Amino acid sequence: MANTFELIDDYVVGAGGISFIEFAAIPATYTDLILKLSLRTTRNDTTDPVILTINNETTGTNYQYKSIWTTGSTSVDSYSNGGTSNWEVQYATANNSTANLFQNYEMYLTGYAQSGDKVAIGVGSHQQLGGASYLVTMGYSWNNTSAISSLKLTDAYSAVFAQHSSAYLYGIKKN
Amino acid sequence: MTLKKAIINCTTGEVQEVDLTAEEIAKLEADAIAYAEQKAQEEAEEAAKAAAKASAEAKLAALGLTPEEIAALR
Repeated sequence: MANTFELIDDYVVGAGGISFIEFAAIPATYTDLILKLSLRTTRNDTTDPVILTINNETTGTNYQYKSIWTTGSTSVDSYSNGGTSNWEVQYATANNSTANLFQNYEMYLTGYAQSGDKVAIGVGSHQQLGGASYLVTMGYSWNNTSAISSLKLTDAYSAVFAQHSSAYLYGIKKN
Repeated sequence: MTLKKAIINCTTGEVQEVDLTAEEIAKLEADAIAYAEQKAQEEAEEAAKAAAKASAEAKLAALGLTPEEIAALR
């Protein structure tokens, strides 16, 4: 059972937007991490995939993830990527979606500072008024024994995170 | 518009917002193209699978199987 749940750091995007959000020099003093995202991008679509890289590792096949999602109007669908160069956060709200709406996503990273491979789960939703919405659950693994000291978020299509998007990183400490 | 990145140092609390370098912009654009190509390939593979499934089901129906019997094979 967690006996601390505290904010490590946060970032709120200002006017003009931002291309990368990187939490660097993450202290190894916690047991687990929680990343809470509320993102909107400038891409001309309703949703937009976001790329998350760990410790600036952007090549190779150490990242895996699976997702299960529903839009509410279609049956549950799934997607799997068994060896790639990043994790995907499905999805940020994009520019053509209802104004002032932001995606809501939470990722729980277990044992981020321990040796051995790392795993995480993610849950997100994108609710668009009168239009397409979705609910997604994701599972992740990163086959690298290094402690996680950096998490970087980038838009998959090189768009910009819009003003008022936010990212909060929390540390969990267990007995 | 000048593209920027935010680096949040979680140890010191310092936040840096700095312009992307030309190399970073080039990589960002190359990654976006690679991502789009990968997704297009995955979608084409999914479409090919769906087409093969529909073709197989049509052939089974032509052999006289009922929709319920075809569904039972899935």
